[in-house]
Amino acid sequence: MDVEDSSGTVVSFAFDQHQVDALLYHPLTARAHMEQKPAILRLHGILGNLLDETEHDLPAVLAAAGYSCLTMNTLLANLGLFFGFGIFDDAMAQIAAGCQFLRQLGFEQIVVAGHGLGGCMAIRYGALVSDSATPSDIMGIIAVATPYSMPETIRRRWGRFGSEPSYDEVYRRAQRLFKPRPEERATHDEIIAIKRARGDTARPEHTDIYTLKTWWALAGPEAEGAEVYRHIGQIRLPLLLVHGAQDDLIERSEFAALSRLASQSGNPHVTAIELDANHTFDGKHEELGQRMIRWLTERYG
Amino acid sequence: MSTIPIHAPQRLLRFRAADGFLISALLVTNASSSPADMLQIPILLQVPGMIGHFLARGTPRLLPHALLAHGFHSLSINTRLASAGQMTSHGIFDDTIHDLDAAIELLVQQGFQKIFLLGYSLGASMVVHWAAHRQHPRVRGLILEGVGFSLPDSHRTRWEKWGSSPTYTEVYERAKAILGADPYHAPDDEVFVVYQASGSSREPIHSEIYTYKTWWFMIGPEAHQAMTHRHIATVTVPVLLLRGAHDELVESWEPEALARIVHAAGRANIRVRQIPGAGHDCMENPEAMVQEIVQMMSERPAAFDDEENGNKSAR
Repeated sequence: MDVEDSSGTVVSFAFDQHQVDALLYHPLTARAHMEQKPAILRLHGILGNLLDETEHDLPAVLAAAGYSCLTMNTLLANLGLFFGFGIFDDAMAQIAAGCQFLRQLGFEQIVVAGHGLGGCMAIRYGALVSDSATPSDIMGIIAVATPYSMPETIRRRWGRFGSEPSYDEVYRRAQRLFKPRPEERATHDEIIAIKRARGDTARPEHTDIYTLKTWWALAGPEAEGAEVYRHIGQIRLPLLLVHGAQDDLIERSEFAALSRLASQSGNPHVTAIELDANHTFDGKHEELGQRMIRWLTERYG
Repeated sequence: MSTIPIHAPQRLLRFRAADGFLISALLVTNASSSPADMLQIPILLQVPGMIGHFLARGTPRLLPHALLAHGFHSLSINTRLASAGQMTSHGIFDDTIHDLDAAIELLVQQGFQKIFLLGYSLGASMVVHWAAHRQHPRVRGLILEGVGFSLPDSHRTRWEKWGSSPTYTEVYERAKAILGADPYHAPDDEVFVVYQASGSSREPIHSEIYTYKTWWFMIGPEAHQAMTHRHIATVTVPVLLLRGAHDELVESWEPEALARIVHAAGRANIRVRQIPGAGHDCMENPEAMVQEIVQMMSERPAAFDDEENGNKSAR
């Protein structure tokens, strides 16, 4: 039997009365290393977690080059979107706690990186940090396979496959929870399964699952936190955007528009690269890692 | 802020079941002894429950460290039914036997000599299913925490109690229509939500999510492999049944009835323990829970000897 031994260590840190789980790679303790090289805080995609394939391979590549990685499970990890507690904006404080955890380990520089939904979170967090008057040790943002706007991407995808229920129908149901009309009785949160959300069958792999609350915060038309285009221009940190040319979820035009917005906002440190990869960068994690390492090395040594 | 790591020393492992399913696992070992002695220390193979995983709160998360404090190793696995497995077509209960096969093969390959299996809730049903179909000389006993008499019956009863929407019968009819005559190989499957499945509201906390295929093999009326009472009599190794005294999901008669089935089959190597001050998760009373497990995993479980001599423990 072939057994793969991860070099990572499962760790946890406290946040808001509970423990956040994370996978720490290459926990070097040499003082000089921690001062000179940033640690990479990695954020998963939709339904992802610290055991994901994308989270599994890439940190090992980065760690081999001396970049320690912490892949954390946010509120949106695992089943967070399904059971109501995975609220996009609430994850920002969790990311801050992840950064604080890295500081307590001794790291003095942090780069926040995310894939898909994680890219949305990384950019939102980067904008918040850039907007703060307080000096920050967040040194850069990496966003891989990131949509121009998560709500718009989801609405377009649902429309393309003829989802059941439709985007507008879900919006009307969610409005009864968040903005009931005077004649409507307010409803409670509940789970919704959307068939034909990501493919042309009713099969599970083409089905999206949310609750009305998690959908509202991530995919609804008023989910400003997940509208990446609103925030990317506020980032004043070095920014690396990576797109997979074979990505069937994120269009190249989205990547180009985000790159343009970031550059036109006056941020002189925007890098945009495209690799021959699909959305999850299957089989391309080594190449992705090497491109990240080159970008990191050019900026941080 | 807590210090790292969550369990020490630990190894995060990945390996494949015979059918290719990728299993993640966390191995926590007592490294204080020599390598040769280490392999003589009993190891607990832990299987989490419904939508659980090896970092889920309660038993899956807490037990490895508690056992380590008593010198025991553990391997906690994410089966194909872990996390969102039951919401994908590959989370088939019957196939979890391959996951346990692979985990045991891994432990044997690593050289561990004394293996105990602990299943929590749904995981307990998986463990019984495995032990009813497999024997391995290094597997010394089963620990079943929060196990129901029959997973399908428990769910049907609960859904009826709360007036689920859709009803159990409605789901069954729909499942037959979608899956056809050969559910395992059915090309079609769908996700569905059951509201008011475990409480009086439609809110997520009282809802359950399955696919028709995963439901069919885990909860449906023809989910024969998940009906623990059908299989437990064929288990040959000692069995410890643990139930939290305040468990709202498993009634007190259920483990007792399972024990009676084993006794009726002519074996005395099963015992039931109610854990005071605990609900479905017995680690709500960690001292009592760990004490029972430590006793089970020790060389000579005294209570079993008593029972085998006809002196049923008074505890």
